[in-house]
Amino acid sequence: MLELDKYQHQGLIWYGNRNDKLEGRIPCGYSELDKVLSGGWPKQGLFEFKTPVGIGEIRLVLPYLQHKQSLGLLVFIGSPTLLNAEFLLANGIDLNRVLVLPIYEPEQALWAAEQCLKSGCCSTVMLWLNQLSVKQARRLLLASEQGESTVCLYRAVQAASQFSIPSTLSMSLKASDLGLSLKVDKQRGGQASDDLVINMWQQWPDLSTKPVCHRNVLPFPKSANH
Amino acid sequence: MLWLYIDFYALQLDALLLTQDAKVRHEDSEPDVLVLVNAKTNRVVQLNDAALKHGLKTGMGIATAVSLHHDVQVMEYQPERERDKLKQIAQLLYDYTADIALAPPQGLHLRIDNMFRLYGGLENYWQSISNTLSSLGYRFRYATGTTPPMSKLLAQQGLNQLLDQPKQLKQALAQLHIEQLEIDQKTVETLNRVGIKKLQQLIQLPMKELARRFDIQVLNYIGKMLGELKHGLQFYTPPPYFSADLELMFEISNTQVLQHPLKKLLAQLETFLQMRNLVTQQINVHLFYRHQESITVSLSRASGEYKQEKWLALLQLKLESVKLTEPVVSVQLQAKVLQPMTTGSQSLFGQKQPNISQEELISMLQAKVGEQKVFSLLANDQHNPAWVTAYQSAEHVSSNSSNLLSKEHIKPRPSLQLAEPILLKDKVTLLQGPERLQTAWWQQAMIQRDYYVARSHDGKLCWIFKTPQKQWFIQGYFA
Repeated sequence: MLELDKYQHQGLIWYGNRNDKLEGRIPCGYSELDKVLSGGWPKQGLFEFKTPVGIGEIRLVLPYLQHKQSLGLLVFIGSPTLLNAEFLLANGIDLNRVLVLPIYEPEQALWAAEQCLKSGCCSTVMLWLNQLSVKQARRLLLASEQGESTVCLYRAVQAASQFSIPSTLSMSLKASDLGLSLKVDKQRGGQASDDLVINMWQQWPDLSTKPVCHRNVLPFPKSANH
Repeated sequence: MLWLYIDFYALQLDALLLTQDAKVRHEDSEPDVLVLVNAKTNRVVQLNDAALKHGLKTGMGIATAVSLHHDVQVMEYQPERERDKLKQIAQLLYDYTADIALAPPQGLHLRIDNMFRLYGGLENYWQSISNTLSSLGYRFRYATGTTPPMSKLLAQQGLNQLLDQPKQLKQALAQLHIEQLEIDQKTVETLNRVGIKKLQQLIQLPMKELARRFDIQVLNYIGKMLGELKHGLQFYTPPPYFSADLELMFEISNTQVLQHPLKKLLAQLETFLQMRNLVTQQINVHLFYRHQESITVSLSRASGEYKQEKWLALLQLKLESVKLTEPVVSVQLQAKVLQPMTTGSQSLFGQKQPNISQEELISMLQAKVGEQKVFSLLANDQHNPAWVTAYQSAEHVSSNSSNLLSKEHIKPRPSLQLAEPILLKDKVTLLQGPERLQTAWWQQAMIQRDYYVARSHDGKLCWIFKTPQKQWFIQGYFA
């Protein structure tokens, strides 16, 4: 029992029936994902994405960024390459509310992310960081709660698979012809899911293959209710 | 009109003694006998208490001085240093009195009659002035007068009284000898020869007679002193910026420790700015080494600030990244660009109050990670993808959302774009394209590229292009 208490104290135990934070979800823009996430993205917290670069990991959260930018700055920290302003503009992101910090030293990046999160004037922080300790992740989580903000943490799959970090939401992304293949590893107040394919044809017709043509099996979103 | 003259008769020596006092003082040993000597005339001009005790006096030659005490420390008198000190004193006094005129190298003229209404009388006024002066620790003499030269003359004779009745002042003047006036020796002799020994006798003569009998110098001097002739004075105006320095009592090689003396300077800055209702966006901290050249630490904030704790927080962050190659012996703080204080309005019933403002956050980030790592984005109307996105200084981040273009882009653009295109090596599947982008021939780096959206074998969505030379490059990723 003592062991359990300890883990509970460290916030490592999640309760399946705890749904006090479920209210006020923000729609993802993809019905398949909404179902799995009980209605949409959480309002705040640490979202961990285990993903390779360049498969649609930013586009996945774009509706969320659009929704949240009225609440504060959008901050990019340590993006793997330069950002394209045209892309952001074309997708309804106000460049006046975007801050870019090309910081690649993990210590400094974490510091900057934490400051932004808890400042209260940033709504979302996009952070690319592979190595992260449990303690550091918890600090980010606390900072996001303090400032009512969100951090989207992008990590390479290999780096992230070593151990699990505390997060509001953690998912693995894989490339897919249709858009993205996604698996929710854990979420607060919810359950993990199986692989599901996010169909991005409607939102990004240029970047995905049309779902119907020459396929024997129709990609139908898998049910999340086990 | 009433004037006050303050004569810092041993300014350079006192300043020196003050810094020495701060240093380690041997308790058992006798204080050193210090004299300052004017190098031109070879005469003692300033001396400390120990020297006075041994019978030394101003005006003595060096030889006499040395013969009176075997171990006299002689230093050169430097009027320029006094001038600087005098300016500092004037700046300090400016907080209490309006009209100050410098009388370098040692004196200050203060016009005081117009300050009485503010202070409610001479006594109150003098109290605040003398408190300030005694906090400095310099020895001084003072006197009042109806004209600047009169107060100066009386102060230099060590009157040390505040007389505001013309009658009393006349009396004090009358007792002075001709030799004590600021006129040259030859004129004094001329006056003596005709039997004029005291100032009284000169004052009694009408101006016309003075002009007829003696040369113009005497006339000018007496005329100005009695207020018959005008005495032009240029009032001191404090510099429009803040600058303060501090000699450290001991050398400091740790940036952590360095914060404490800097805190003192920041407190001075706060007082300075607060009294003038100003704020500053940038301060410069100069750290002086004993041997090497000084280094400068610049701090800037997106919004102006005067509070010392706000600046200190930034300074602490900045100092973490400063490496001291040598112990620091003195520090200087400067704030050159000052702005009037304004306050932004915040909504009273806003949903959430940010813990710190946007400007503060940006200043904090800039202080810690460097200004070259904090940007905002700007989209240019260009064909060349390399020129579309501009990283600009983060000051352009604003809270009003005005720059939002509602243009609906049909053409796909990657979210992540490489700084330099890289050669495409792997096999890819083309999804979309081509889209030809061509810049004008008169532009420097003319390009002609056919852009495609392609999927690499590992599923990455790439923005690739083909040059006219049939070479393929990756420009970015549709992340």
